[in-house]
Amino acid sequence: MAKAISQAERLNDPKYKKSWAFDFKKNWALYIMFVPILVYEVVLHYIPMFGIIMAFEDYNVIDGFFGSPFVGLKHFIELFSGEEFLTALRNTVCIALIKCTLGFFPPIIFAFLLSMLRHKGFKRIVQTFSYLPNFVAAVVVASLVTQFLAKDGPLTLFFTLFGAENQNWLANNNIPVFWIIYLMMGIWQSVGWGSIMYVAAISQVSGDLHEAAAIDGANRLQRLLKITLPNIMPMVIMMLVLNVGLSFSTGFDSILLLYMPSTYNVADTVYTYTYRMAFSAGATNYSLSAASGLFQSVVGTALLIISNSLSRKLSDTSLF
Amino acid sequence: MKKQLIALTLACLMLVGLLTGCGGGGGSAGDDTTFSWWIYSGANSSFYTEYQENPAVQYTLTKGYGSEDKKVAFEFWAAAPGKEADNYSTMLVSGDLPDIIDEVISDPPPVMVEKGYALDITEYVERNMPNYVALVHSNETYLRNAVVMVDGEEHYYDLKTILDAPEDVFQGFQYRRDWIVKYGTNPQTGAPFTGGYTAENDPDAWTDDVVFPSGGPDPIYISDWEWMFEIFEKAMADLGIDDSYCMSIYYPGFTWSGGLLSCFGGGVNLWYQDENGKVQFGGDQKYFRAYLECMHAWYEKGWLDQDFYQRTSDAFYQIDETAVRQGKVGMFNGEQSKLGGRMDMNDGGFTEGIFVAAAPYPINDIYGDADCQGKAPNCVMGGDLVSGGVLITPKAAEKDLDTLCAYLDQFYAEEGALIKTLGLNADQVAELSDNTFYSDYGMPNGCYFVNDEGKYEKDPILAQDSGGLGTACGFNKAPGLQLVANVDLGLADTYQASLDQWVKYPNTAFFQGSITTNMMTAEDTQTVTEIQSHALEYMTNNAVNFITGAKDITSDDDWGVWCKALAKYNYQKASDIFQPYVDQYPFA
Repeated sequence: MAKAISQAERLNDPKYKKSWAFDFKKNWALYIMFVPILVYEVVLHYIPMFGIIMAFEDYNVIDGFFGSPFVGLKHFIELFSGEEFLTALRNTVCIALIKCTLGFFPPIIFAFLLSMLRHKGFKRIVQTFSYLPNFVAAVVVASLVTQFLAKDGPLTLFFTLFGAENQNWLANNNIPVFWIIYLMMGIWQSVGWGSIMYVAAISQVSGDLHEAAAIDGANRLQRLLKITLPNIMPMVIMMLVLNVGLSFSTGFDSILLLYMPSTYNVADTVYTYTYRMAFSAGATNYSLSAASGLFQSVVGTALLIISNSLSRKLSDTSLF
Repeated sequence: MKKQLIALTLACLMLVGLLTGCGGGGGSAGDDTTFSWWIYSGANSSFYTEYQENPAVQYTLTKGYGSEDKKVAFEFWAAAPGKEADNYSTMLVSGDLPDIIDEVISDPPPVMVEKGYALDITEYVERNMPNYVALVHSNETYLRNAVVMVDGEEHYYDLKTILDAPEDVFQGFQYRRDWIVKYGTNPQTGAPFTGGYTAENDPDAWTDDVVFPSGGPDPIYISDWEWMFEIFEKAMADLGIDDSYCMSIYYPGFTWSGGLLSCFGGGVNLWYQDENGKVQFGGDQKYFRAYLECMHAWYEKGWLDQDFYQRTSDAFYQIDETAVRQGKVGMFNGEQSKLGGRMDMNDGGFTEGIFVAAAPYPINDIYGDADCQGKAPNCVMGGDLVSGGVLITPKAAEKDLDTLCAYLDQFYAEEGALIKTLGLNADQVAELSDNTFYSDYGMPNGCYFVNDEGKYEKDPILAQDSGGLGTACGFNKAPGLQLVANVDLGLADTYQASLDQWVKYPNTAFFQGSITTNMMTAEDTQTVTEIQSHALEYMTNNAVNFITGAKDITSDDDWGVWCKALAKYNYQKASDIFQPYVDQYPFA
C-alpha cells in the first residue's frame, strides 16, 4: 500500500521543488504573462513556416499549398543560374561584411567617449540626442539621404569642394559607393542606440579598478584599454555574434527605398531580390521568392550557430 | 496577490489584443448589393478624395436596378499612385479579393477564370444585360474581343469597355513649338519664323509658319527631332536655363510597349509580329541596337536628361513633371492637358507664352543600317475599339449579381454611356441637388449639351481644362460604351491637329494585351510572363549602361554579352508559344 504523503512532506521534497508543477504554482503569474508571447510566436512565426513548401512547388494562390504542383529543387536551380540572384548574394555578403567590421565599432567607440565625459548633464543631453535618429522612420532617413546626396544636395556640394564629381551619389553604381553610403546611414541612425548596451556595461566596471590604476600612473587611454575593454569584452562578443547572425538579413527597407534599377548591380540584396520577385509588377514569382527567402534564412541561421559556437570556444561567452 | 492580479489582467488583455488581429479579414459589407471594386487609380485629390464622391457615380446610385428595383453601392479600393502593380499583386496573393477588378493590369480574362480569380458571368450577362449583348453582337471586332468561345458556345468572362470609334490617345510626345518659332530659322531659306497667339486667353489660338527640315509643318524624321534639339539648346542658353535638357526619357531607357522603340525598324525589345506575321523577339536585334545607339548619341550631346535613370518613380507620361511644368523641357512625353498654352503660368517664368504641339513618332533616317531606316513606327498606342473592362471575382458569387449586371448594363445604352463618358447633363445635375460639385466648378448645367449638329458637346470649361476636371466628372471607371463618334469635345483645330499626330501611324506589330494574348491559356501565360519578367529585368537594369556610355553600344563584345545574357532566358520558347496565338487570333 502506497504510503500517503502529507502536503508538508511533498512541499519539502527536493524532487518536487525542481519540478515544473512546483515552479508553475510559485510563478503562475509569470507563466500566464508568457502565454501571449507563446501565442504570438506560434501564430506568427511557426505556423507561417509551413509556407516554406512554396519553394518546392510551382505555387499559385488558387491551388494553394496542397494543390500546386511539386517541382523539387527547380526554383533553387533557377535561383543560382540567374545572374541577378548571384549579384544580390554578392552584395548581401559584402554589405554584411562591411557592417560587421566597419559598422560594428562606432557604437563601442561612442560608448567609450560617453563614459569619459565628466559633466553628467552634458553627457545625458548627448546620449538623448544620439538616440533620436533610431526613432526616425526608415522612409524619412532614406528621404534625407536622397536629398543630401542628390546632385544639388548639401553633402554633394560639400564633396565637390574637395574635387569630387558633382553627381547624384545614390545613382553611382561603382563599387563601393552605395555600400559606404548605406554603412554611413546605418551608423548615423544607430550609433547612439547601439551604444546603450556598452554604456550600461561600462558603468558596471568597478570604479576601484580605475582608481587603483590611476594611482599607479595609468592614463585614460591605458585604463580604457586595460580595464574597461576587457571588462566589457563578453558584451562586445555577444553583440558581435548577434550582428554576424543577423547580418544576412541586411537592410531591407532602407535599400528598397534607396536603390534604383541602374544601381541594382551594387545595391540589390537577397532581401530586396526576394521582395521584387514576389511583388514587382509582372514578376510575381512567389515560388522563386520563397526559395530565395529560404536560402537566406538557412544561411542566416547557420551563421548565427557558427558565430555562437566560435564565440563560446574563443571567449567562453555565447548566446545559447 | 494584487500585483499578480494586475499581471494576469494585463496578460489577458495582451492575448485578446493579439487574437483580435487574427482571421476575420475585416468583415464583409453585409449587403448583397454592396460591392467592393478595385480601380487602378484613385480619385484626383484636386476634386475629391474618394472615388465614391464622383458625382456621376453618386447619381447612378440613387436609382434602382433589376427586376426588384434594388439599389447598389460600391466601395472603391484604389492603390497609392505608383504602387498600383504592387497593390494588385498583394491583393491576389493574399486572396483578399474585391468583388470587381479593373482588368487594366490583370492577366487575360480566360486566364483569370481558369486560375479562379474571376467568374464566368455568362448566365448573368445573358439574363440582365440586353444592351451589352446587343452591342457586342453588333460588330465583329467587339464580338471577337468580348466573347470567349468554349466548345462552340459564347461565354462572357468580363465586361468590356467598348468604343464606338477609335479614341484619341491620352498622351504622346510633345514639344515647345513657341521655342521653334522664337529661336529657329527656316531650314530652306534661313529666314526667322513668325507666329504666336491670335487671341488672348485662348490656349489653342496659335498660328505660325514653322517648316521642318523634312519640308512640312510637323516633324517626321529623327533628323527633324535633332534639328529641334539644336534649337532647344539655343533657347535654353538664351533663357539661362542651365539645369534642364532637351528631352526626357523613361527611366529604363525605353518603353517596352512601343513608341519610340519601334521607329528604328523591327518593333519593340520584347515580342512583336513582323510584316509576315512571324513573332520576333526584339531585345537582341539590330533595330534595338540602333535605338540604343541613337539614345546614346543624344545623351552624349546633352540632349537627353542626364539623370533620366534616376527618375524611377515617374510614370512614362509624366517624367520630371516639375521641370516640364516650369517650362524648362523642350520635348517630353505628356498628356493632352499639356498641349497648347495650358501650362502657361502667366508668372513671367519660362512658361510665359508657351505653346506645346504634339509630335508623331519619328521615322529613323540616321542610325543603324538601311534596314533600320525609313520604316514607319509599328508599335504604338491607340486605335482600339475594345479597351479594358472589369472582372467579377468569386468573392461576389454569393451576392446579387443579377442586380449588379443590370446596373452595369445601363452604361451600354446611350444615357448611361454619356454618364460614363462625359458626366451628368443639366437635368441629372438638378436631380442630384445634394451634390454641389457641378456648381462649384462653374457647370450648373452639366458637362455637356446637344449642339446644332446634334452632337454632344462638352461644356467650354471642360474643353479648356488642364487639371483633370473632365475625368473627375464622368464615371470612366465603369465598363460601358465609350462615346467617341457623336461627341464634340469642343476642341480647337490646333488641339485636334496635335491629337491626330499621336495616331498618325497604326499599330500593326504589338500584340500584347490584345485578343491574341487574351486567348492564351493560363499555363502559356505563366510561361511567357516568367520569361518576360526575367528578360525585362535584365534589360531594365542594363540598357541604361549603353545609353550613358558605361558600356559601348558600338562594341560587338559588349553587345555580345547583352545578347548572350538575354538568350539565357530562353526567349525563343516564348516566341514559339506566341506564334500559334498570333496565327489563330490576329489582333489587327
